[in-house]
Parts: sequence; structure tokens; C-alpha cells
Amino acid sequence: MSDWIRERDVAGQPVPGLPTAPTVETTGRLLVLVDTQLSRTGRPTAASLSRAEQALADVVGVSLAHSSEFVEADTGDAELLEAVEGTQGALFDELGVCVIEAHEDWPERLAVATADATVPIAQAEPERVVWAISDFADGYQAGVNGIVEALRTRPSGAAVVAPAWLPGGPFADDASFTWGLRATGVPSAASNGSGSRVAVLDTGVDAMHPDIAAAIRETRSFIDGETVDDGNGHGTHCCGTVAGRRAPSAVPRFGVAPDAELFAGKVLSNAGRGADGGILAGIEWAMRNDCHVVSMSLGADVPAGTPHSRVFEQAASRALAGGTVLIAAAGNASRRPGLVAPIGHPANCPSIIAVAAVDQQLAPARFSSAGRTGDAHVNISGPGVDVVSAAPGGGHRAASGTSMATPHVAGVAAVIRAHADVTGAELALRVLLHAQGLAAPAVDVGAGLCSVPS
Amino acid sequence: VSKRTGDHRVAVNVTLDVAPDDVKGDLAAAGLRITATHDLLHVVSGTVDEADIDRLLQVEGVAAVEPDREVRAFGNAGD
Repeated sequence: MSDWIRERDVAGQPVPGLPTAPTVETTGRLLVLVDTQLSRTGRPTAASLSRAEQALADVVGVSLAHSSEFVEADTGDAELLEAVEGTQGALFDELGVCVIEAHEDWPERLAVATADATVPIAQAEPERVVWAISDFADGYQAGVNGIVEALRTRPSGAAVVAPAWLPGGPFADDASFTWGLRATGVPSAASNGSGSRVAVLDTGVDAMHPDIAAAIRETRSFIDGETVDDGNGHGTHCCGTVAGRRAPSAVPRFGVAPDAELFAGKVLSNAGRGADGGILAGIEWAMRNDCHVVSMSLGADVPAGTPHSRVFEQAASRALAGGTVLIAAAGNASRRPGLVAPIGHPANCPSIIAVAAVDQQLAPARFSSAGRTGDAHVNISGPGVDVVSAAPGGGHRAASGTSMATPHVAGVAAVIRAHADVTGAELALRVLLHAQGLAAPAVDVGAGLCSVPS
Repeated sequence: VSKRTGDHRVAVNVTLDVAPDDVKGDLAAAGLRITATHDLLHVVSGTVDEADIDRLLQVEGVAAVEPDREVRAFGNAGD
């Protein structure tokens, strides 16, 4: 099927030799990226979506259902898929991406259309994966990542264009906000995560820290012989990034969602080490506490080609079905530019959102692991270099790592969750849809930089 | 890194296609000493003699048996 895939460069001309979709399982449907104009928020304008929709009707006669209609109708995940399958296609308004059935000659017709610069259809390719609904967000995102990657890179992999909505960098802390909060849009956020419950599974927490204490709802240690007190500092730092208070003492605000409720589960010892069993116990604890988000700045590096854990994939799938989104750090094993390491465990599971780290220039952090091999994908990125947050004893410190990026994404999820009572799968999808596109390849940064709705 | 518990026993996590309560007896009969049950996740944790892992995999309802790997915090990469 790959022989009909065409891409267009920024001047509207076909680009020979661009990478085509990898050989993976496909669904018989097509992902179509339409040309749209972007509003200041980075989302396609209604007028440009309407033109693109008309173009698709002209080229292949397809009628589309709009994803916004599903959202407004507050349909469940199963109903959403059923609705998509019951029509000829669905248009994801915020992405400018359609999913349509692949009737006999539609690929050829779309290939002709993508070569015509006057037709607002940029690219079409097979939809790569449709898993069970709990995997929907990740499977869909993998397809979108492929399109974004192809459009933004030349064969050498060098970026050719940055999105028009990309905010100016480099970012720096100012008197009011850390650079990470500024880059993710927190200063103009529509909410602070009120009503959202976030579990941070880590080395515990300094529950008396003045910038965190008010957010903490419950704590528990899953480490034999250790209380939940954070003798390491890693967990306190991550908790602070998720829900540090609005006006901390001495430093700029570092908490993405200060009104969110924190559940701090200690699954790593004070030495920063733990085991799968403790993490699974922490996930179950979070589910029993109706947490909407689980932030896991932890993992194990794995050799390239290592399959993901079936145990964690099933656990994540069940958590998602139960309304809990798992978010995990991709890992710090890269030494760019020479070495790019694969995503670690458990972030390499399809049903877990894998988080890469970017620096103040919004470029991949030198240590950030990436989805270059196997079935693991980076799904999204967060600020992960020189991140200021809370330290045990009431202080603060700067740290770097995908560990620091992950609670940014968790905080963003909490803010998004505060806007709408949505299922776990839909929350995961919304987190990805709200990401700001970045110039870096999608294998390194996924859908882009996590971003709160304004 | 998998966690060894002494002798030939290893710590494992077992994911199930059924509720843990439905197969606890069968798992025990196959040599698994259960240390924790995660009902919502359909996962049980425990220890098993390495020689019994294949037997454990034969238990109806067992989807996968994996070593209880060591994990660590993914930061501070700047140190």
C-alpha cells in the first residue's frame, strides 16, 4: 500500500524519497492530513477546516463526522468508535486530521490530490493501528506522529519548518513562573486543576513542605521499612511540579496544577530504587482512590528491541478503562547527539503515555530516550532541563531528567481533566491533542510540548 | 535486573485473564507463593522456584509471568 503515499514539502511540491509508513499492522482505513490555517492558539480555524472538508468531499465523496460533536455529546469511548465506524470518516478538528474508510480507488485519488497544491489535502497514509479502546489514544497518536514526522523532516532528518504557533525561545525562569510553566502556557491557563486527583509514584514526599502540603490528600509507602517521608528528594520535586502552590516562597511558581489533589505513593526507596511489584501496588492504590492521573518518573532502561511488559500493558489498559491515565518517563539513557537510547520500561507500553524531555530551546534534552526502534513511541514532551521545584526540608532545587518532564505532563492532564469529566482514554487523547507542535522529529518529542488549555 | 529471593526462587508478577480470586488455588498449586494481589489490575505478585515457571504458565487464566524487575528514579540527569 505504501506505493501511493505522497508527501508535500512546504512549497507544495511532492518530495521524493521521504520516509513512508513503516511496515506495521494497518486497519484498512486512511489517515488524511488536511491543509489548514491555524489560529493563534495553534488550532485549525473553522473556515479552513470547512474548505478541507469540502475538498475531501470533492475528491472521494466522503462525509465526515466531527470529533467536536462527539465531545459535545459526551459520548463514551465505545460510542465514539462506533460513531466513527458508522460514518465514512471522522475529522479531528483540533488536529486537522481525518480518519476515513479506504475504498478501492481512494488512495489513488488522494495521491493525485496531495500532488495538487491547490487542493488542501496534505497527505494520506494507511491508519497503522487500531487497538482495543484502551489503546486508542496511543495507537491513533502513532499514526499522527508518522504524518507529522514526514511533513516536518527531509530525508536527512533535518527539520525544515517550525510551526507558526511555536512560542519564542529560549525560555527562562522569571519572577513569576519557571521556564517550564511559561513554555506550557500555565500563566494563561483556564484552571489550576481543581477536582483532579493525581498520584505521584516515586520516592515519597516531604508532606510538610509549605509549597506542597495543602495539595496532599493521602500518602502511602509501599517500601518495606521506610515511611512515606522522602529521604531522596526526587518524589518531592515531582510532587511540586504537579501541584506546588501558586505563590511559593523565594522562587517562581513551579506547580502546574496547584488546585489538584496529590496522592503520594512511595514505590522507590530513599536510594531511588524499587521493583515492578511495588509500582503495580501503587497503580492499584491510585485506582482505588479514583485518581485520574498517575505520574511515574521512574523505570528501567532496556536494550533496543526489547518487547514491552505484558503485565504493565494489561495493568495500564485496565487502569485506563477505569478512568486512570498512566504517564511515565521515557528515560535518560541517551547521550545526544551520538547515542539515542530506546524508551525504558514501563513507558514503552502502548497504553502508557511516554514522556520525553526538552530543554529551554524546546529541543530534545541530550539525555532523553526516544522511540527509534520497536513498537515504543514517545507520545509527548515536557520541560526537563534545569527545572526548579520543591526539595525536602522546605527548600527548592533545580533538576534535570525525563523525571522532571513527566510531572509537567501529569499537571497538564490534571488541568485538562478539570475542564471536563471525561474517560481515561479521552483524557489521554486530549493531553496529546493539546500538545504544541515542535520542530524536532516526532520520534524524539512525540506530539510536541505538553500544553494547558487557555 | 530481576530480584532473586534466595535458593532458586525468583520474584515474579503474573498477569491474569481472570480475577485473581478465581485462580489463587491453582497458582499456589503450581508453586507460586503469593505476596500481593492487585485485583483491579488482575495481577498477582509472588515468588516461585525457577523450575516451576513453566508450570505456572500452564495454569488456565495466566497470561504472562514476568520477573519483578528493579526500577529506579529517572533523574537527576543533570548531576
